[in-house]
Amino acid sequence: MDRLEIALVSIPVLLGMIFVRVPIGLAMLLCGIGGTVLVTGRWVPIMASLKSLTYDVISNHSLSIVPLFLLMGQFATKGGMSESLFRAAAAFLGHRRGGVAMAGIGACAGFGAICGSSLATAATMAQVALPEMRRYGYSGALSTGSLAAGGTLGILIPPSIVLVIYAILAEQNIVKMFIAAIIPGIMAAVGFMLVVAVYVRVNPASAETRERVDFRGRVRAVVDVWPVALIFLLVIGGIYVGWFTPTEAAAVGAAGTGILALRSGELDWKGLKDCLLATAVSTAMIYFIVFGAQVYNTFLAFAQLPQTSAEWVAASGFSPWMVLVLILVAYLLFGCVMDSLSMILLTVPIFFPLIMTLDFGMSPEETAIWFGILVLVTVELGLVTPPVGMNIFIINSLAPDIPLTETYRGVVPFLIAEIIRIALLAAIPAIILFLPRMMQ
Amino acid sequence: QDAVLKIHQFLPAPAPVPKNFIVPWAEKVKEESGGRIDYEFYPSMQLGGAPPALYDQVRDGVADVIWTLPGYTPGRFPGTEAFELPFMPTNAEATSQAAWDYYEKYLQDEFEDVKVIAVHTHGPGLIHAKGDGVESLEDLQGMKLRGPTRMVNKMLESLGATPVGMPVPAVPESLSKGVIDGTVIPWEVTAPLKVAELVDSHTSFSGDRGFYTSFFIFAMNKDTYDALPDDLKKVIDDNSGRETSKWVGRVMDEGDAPGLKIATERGNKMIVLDEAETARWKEAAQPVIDGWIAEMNEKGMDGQAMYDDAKAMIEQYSSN
Amino acid sequence: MSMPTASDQMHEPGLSPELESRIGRIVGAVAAFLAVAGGLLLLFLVAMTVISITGRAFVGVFHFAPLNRLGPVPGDFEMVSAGCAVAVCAFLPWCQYRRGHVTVDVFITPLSGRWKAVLSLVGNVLMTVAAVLIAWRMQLGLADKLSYNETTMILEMPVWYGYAGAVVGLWVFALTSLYTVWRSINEIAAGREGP
Ligand code: NA
Ligand code: NA
Repeated sequence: MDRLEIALVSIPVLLGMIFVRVPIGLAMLLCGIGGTVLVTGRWVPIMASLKSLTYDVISNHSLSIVPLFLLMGQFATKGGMSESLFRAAAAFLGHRRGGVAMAGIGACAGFGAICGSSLATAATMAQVALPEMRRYGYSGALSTGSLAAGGTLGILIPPSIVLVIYAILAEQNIVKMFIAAIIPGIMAAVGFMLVVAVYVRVNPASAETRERVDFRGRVRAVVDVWPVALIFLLVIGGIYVGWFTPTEAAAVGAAGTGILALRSGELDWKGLKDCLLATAVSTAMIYFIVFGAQVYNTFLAFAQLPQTSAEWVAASGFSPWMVLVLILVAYLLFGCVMDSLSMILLTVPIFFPLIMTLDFGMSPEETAIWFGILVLVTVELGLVTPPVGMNIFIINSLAPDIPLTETYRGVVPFLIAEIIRIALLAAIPAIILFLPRMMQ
Repeated sequence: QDAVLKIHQFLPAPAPVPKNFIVPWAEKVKEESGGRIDYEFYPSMQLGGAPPALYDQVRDGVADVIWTLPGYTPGRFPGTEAFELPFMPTNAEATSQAAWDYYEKYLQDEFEDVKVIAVHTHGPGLIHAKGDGVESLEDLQGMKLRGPTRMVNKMLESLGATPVGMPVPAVPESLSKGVIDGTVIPWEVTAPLKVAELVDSHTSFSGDRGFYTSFFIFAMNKDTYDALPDDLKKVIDDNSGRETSKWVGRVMDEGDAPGLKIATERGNKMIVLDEAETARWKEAAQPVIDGWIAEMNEKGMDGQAMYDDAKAMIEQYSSN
Repeated sequence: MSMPTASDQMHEPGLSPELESRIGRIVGAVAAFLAVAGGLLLLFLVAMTVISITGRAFVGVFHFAPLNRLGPVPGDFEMVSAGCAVAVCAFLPWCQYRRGHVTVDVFITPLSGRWKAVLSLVGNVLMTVAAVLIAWRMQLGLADKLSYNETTMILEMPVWYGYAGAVVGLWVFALTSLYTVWRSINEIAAGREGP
């Protein structure tokens, strides 16, 4: 076997291991080590490399955003910020038909603005919004479907851990990536609310209406939610106007939500321990995949797969747009069985250099930002695509009386909205690039 | 084919040194070996790890040839820091030849694990700052500046600036956002990092000595070299040494031109401190030199002789 | 690992399940302790970063002592890098103990509990191999850093500090992984997976 064949064979081997439930990071790590040994014909390169590679990955300064944002999300959850967000959104939307579901989505967007993870957003908001929707007679499909979709706003709206990982892999400016995600994130939130509005028109039995909240109630709800808004402004605004770097912003955010959680009284020693242990699991899980992906990508570089695949595509005569569509479809398919972070780590090192050799009529930096957001929204869709959609599982596990198939059914309208949005974003890059261009 | 050299380094392929030295060097070796020494080029740390790992990678055989800065691993190659002391360098071409002579005299032990092909420096570094610019030592007080190596940061501190340590990729962002007020780098790096667009002024100095420089090494794995037949060893040897070091130095000097041009065309303020002011800076930076000499003495080396030699060697190549 | 005792075999099948669960409690406690310690380290980094940002904002604002000395915490970036490295390694044992690593389960849902436990066993054996390998190699890296006196740029803090902290976490990770192999064996015997 020549080294390119070894690289190509490694892909089904890797997927095979993943599909029999070998942890994804571990599968990439082992395939990477084995592949490098085969390609170089020696144990020395990979063994010598591992002396410092592990430390280089775990001490990567940009990557230290990840545990800090995770900690921030934990504190936000502990501090009950989800409740005030939901109350504020419900004060304005709750009385409409399907309004409680819309409020759930709006609150997800708000929570996504201070939390970098989709699962945390889905789980947190579901605990608040799900009982409310059930009380007003929302059908199982609508209530779980809207929250599963709403949860994806956790990574669509900055800060976003998936976006951090993309920026590191593609060597792009994290700030610009965050800024570029804002408009598509708002589009998603609005799109989901529209879906709810249409859904309840088509199925009037799926939701009852709630009484209107008066003006004073609305003011009170808004006042309650100001700390969340303050932290978002401090974190994203602070990065934007230049008070601090993204890693520092994550620390500021963690400190801010930590103080709020402390003030709420939930953050005693036990509460703190819970937050730290939960942060530990997510952090270790993410770093282990990042590390495995690093080793696997080193192997692919030794095998020169990225270069060769770019040459192959160039020789194939496919148009750039054709290549883009194929890549996005591949993401959609993989998203049905894999989680978003693993997908990014596995594929960006192969697809990104490929995309950068193609001409979409934009500068390289703009192409990189645009492609990154497209990848983000596409892999995010994987969180709500059956059969494996992590958000679906999380929400469904919080609603034991609703069968999984009903949740599957509930997310379908949202999936349609998402596919329309992806098509719009791909066809009109200016939607994504508008804000980053303003930064120049 | 007798060997395929895996060449690994941290910059993207279009940067001046990879484009105008590393790849042409590899092509030259390939041609002179009649195609028997081929190469594979891995830019941007494609073979994994962070830039400080490059030296160990070539020592251990992860890569066959690497290009890196010993200064990325402070404390490990103390002798190289003689060239990074304040107001040492002239142009890169002359300083790089001196660096080779200095390597032969003082650094063979430090680099005994690898086959050194070339050592060199970049052109004189200068201060790129936002705002009114640095026209005197007083302007520097409290200014937040990013420095590349241990020695430079010590120098900035001793001059009264606040050194801010951060990875290079963070520099443009931090500059544009005011996290730092400026940075010290040579012109060569200003173009790819778009520094001229982010600052308002550039401060250089009078006299024939530049502000500071950094030391680089281009080296080969020892086993890879030893495994070559004698005629191919000769090809490598012919492409190592002072002339090769001079070549990289020249590429560095030429790389400075576009950066300078961009800044000039933008109408940025060009400040050259006069001789009296430059002398004040040299005096303020003297403790850094004294401190380094003392450090070397503690390590059982003759710090004063190393410093004097480095200076004299640079002088020798600069006066021609 | 001790031989299964007669009383073990009378109660439950497997490899000394009672001893395993006792050891498991110790492993879990150690892993949790390390994870919380790592988390507290993270909190320290948060506080240090906030102080550093604040100090940096006041550079050049005051012109009288001692406030004119305000500035960023020297080497703040270096502390965050090294601190995160140590924290991440301290988190790994807990993640392994709590079955926290990401897996794809969809293709094995039809399998019985026993077969799922068999796959877990395979995964945990591979994880143990990988953990030992990583810990062993990083320990060699630690030896390298020790012998070269390599330091960080600004603080001139020895790089091996970070390596040493990380290596401790990695060896505990390896031991935890080894324990989870044992746990999986007993889950196969019991015909069901744990929580
Ligand atoms: Na978010
Ligand atoms: Na999915």
